[in-house]
Amino acid sequence: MSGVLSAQPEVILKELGRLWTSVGEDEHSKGKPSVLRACAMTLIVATDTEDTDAFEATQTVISLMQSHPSRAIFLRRSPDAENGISARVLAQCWMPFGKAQQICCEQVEIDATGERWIEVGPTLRGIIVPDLPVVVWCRQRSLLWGKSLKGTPGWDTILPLATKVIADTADASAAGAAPLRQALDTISLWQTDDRAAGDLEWTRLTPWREAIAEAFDDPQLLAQRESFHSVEIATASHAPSSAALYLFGWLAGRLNLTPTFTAVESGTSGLARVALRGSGTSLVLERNSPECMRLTIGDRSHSFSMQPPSLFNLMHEELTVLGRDDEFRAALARAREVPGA
Amino acid sequence: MVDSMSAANPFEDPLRFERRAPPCAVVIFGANGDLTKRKLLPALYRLSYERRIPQTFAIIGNSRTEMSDDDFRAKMKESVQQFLEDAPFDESVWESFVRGLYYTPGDLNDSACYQAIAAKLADVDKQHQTAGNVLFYLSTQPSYYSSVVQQLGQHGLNHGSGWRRVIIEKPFGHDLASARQLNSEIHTVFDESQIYRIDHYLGKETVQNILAFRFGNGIFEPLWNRGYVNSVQITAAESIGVEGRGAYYQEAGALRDMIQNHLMQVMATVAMEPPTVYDADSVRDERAKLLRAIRILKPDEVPVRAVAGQYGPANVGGKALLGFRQEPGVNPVAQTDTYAAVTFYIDNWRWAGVPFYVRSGKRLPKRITDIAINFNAPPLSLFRQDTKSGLMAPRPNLLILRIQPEEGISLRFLSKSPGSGMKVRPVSMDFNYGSSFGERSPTAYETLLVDALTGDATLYTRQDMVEASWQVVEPILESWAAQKFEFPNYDSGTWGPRASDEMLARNGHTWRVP
Repeated sequence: MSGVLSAQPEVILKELGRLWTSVGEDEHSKGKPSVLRACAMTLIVATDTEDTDAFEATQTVISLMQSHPSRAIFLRRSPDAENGISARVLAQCWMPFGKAQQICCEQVEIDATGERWIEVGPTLRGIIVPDLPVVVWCRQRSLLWGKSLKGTPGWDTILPLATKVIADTADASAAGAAPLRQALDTISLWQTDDRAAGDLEWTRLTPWREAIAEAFDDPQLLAQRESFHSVEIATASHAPSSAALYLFGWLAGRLNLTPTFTAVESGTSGLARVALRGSGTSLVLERNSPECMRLTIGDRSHSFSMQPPSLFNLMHEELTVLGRDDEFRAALARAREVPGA
Repeated sequence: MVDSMSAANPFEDPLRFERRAPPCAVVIFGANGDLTKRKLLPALYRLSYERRIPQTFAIIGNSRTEMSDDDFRAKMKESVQQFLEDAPFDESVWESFVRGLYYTPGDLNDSACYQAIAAKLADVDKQHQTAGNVLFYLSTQPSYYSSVVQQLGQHGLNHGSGWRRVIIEKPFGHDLASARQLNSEIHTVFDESQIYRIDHYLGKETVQNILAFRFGNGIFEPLWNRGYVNSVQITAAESIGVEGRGAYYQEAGALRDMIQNHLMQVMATVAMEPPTVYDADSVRDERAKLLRAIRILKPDEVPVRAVAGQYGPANVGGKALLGFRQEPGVNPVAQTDTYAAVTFYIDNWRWAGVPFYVRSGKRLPKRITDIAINFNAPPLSLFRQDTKSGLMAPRPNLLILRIQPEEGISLRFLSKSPGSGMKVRPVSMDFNYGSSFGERSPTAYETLLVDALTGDATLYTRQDMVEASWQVVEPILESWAAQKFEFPNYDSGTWGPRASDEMLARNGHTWRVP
């Protein structure tokens, strides 16, 4: 790992070059083959002091490097940043099982105070890996919702660099309907023809959506699709969460129906049940416990394991969808139309 | 009889959801055999682990051995635990998977066996809601293929309320006539759209990646022709011998066992024209067209363009290795080719005059399968080639598509050596599949099973492709059958017989050392 550096692009790039030479020499002196440098994207992680799970996020990104090799750039908005803005570089290496050559990715850490945050964008412009996608994982709550949403200088220089921006509206859901509306509007604004957006709350829905889709692999149930007349989404909270709103948007688009929300007593947080009812048929998918789901179609039912996805799983899925995601766009658009959301 | 496509599921999200098998039952004939234990059950279990096969799924194993469902389940659990590749075994997933695993013993020549299977299918359809869909997997000895299919037809198992498909393992015949005969017998029961002839090489990720590399990039395809390519080498080398399969292998040989099927399919993938769309028929049409364009050797060309070899005994790494004729179950004067190399030419506008050197052998120095595209040298050599002064002779560009074991792509090009003066040396630019996509790749059988279950035949071989490849190798087989070779003609642990090097030398080429 380097010492504290000035956050000028040429200083960071020079230090990265020196780091690679040193890692290569180190392996060479041990008589081992040189390391293999892997990079498929720039992954920028924007955090701040309010991000209590920043350590977990860092560990997640390091784990993700094996399946999504990247130049990972951690941006931390912190009042303690040395000289107002500073950087460090390091290499993350691992030895694939049964192989003799280490694979390494680059990690850059940039700390900046609120006042110097505006300088981060120009630094990033100089150090993103050319010609490869740039993903920004936005973990700064203040960029998504809250009173200071419009008061974050510098974000407008970071956002245009991104091929995709990923956020998580789970906190906004917990904060209430207004913050959630604000967060969904923000994500919607991030999307352009050239830039995709993602929300880990939508990603958390994938196992639910997949279980429903799997049920409709049955040609008999598929043939009865037109006969469904009501959809109920039950959540453990009184106000619908972003996941519930997304599910609303997705099902409304698929079934041409307007789902309704209900609040239920549930041992777990979040979505509790989705029920599709029709004349002579029904499909109910419900969470039995934090790890177990039950799917009931008519009078047949079976339970299956559905662990809550880890942060690694969620990010892994989002990083595999770097382009335009029409399903998400449509679900987001419909979710924003829900009255009171 | 025609395999109809089911209506599209509007809840699908192909960006996010893994491709899943629909509700169905799989009947495995030869369920007590090696292929089932080593490949099929581990692949099906793995698909279950990834939730790519539904709850509404069942497997019925069949073989002659008397066993209960529980005995079969215990045996298969042991196999899955032993042969699962790069993946953990999860007891709870197995418990759910095993609930759909059944066994029906029976002799394949006995009508009662098929009645029992029909009854079991009706039973699992009720219990597991398999929607009447059935995939039959013929993992038996090839001599049973025709009779099993005929029996399936006689017992009405080739049609039902859902789709019916059949997977047939290689070899598809042992020559052109037997392949045609087999195809015509199978066609009396199953329509071509229901038949999935499996060649597991086509299911390998890196073979599929050849198509992505060629047709997903704009910069390579313009060079992919006789104007730029000097020659192509396709190598499938094994370091092991026949490993207890001597009796089978001495009837097959390297040309039949590897080149006629796997390597000709790989060659077709490398050399085919771009399909207009990526669907099963378009891709297979182009592969078939390419196979039909391969020049068929005249008898007098065979000695010049094809080389047979057989390994002899040797000491490798301090270990004494048997020669092929000393292997258990092998005729001590066997004329079997454990090594085969052929120079193919493709008579079309793209490839006319470009030699495709294809070789495969056992007991070669290492296990490797790769494709080397040798490009033409620059028209004028500007840089020094004085090898006496210690400079390396400039070598033309070389593109390597590595299929196994280190899957990836390398491009060799010349670069200036650091320092004063214009000294050039070859360097290699590597793309390593494993490091760029650190995720576990599905095994070929996982890919191909999901394909068959979802009705995607792109990676399966079609009748015309099988017959075209037999047509190409048959003159060589006939010529070799009429000769008496002085075998063995290469030592274990070497790159094959000298005649193989001489075959390339006549064109001014040499085999590259992979």
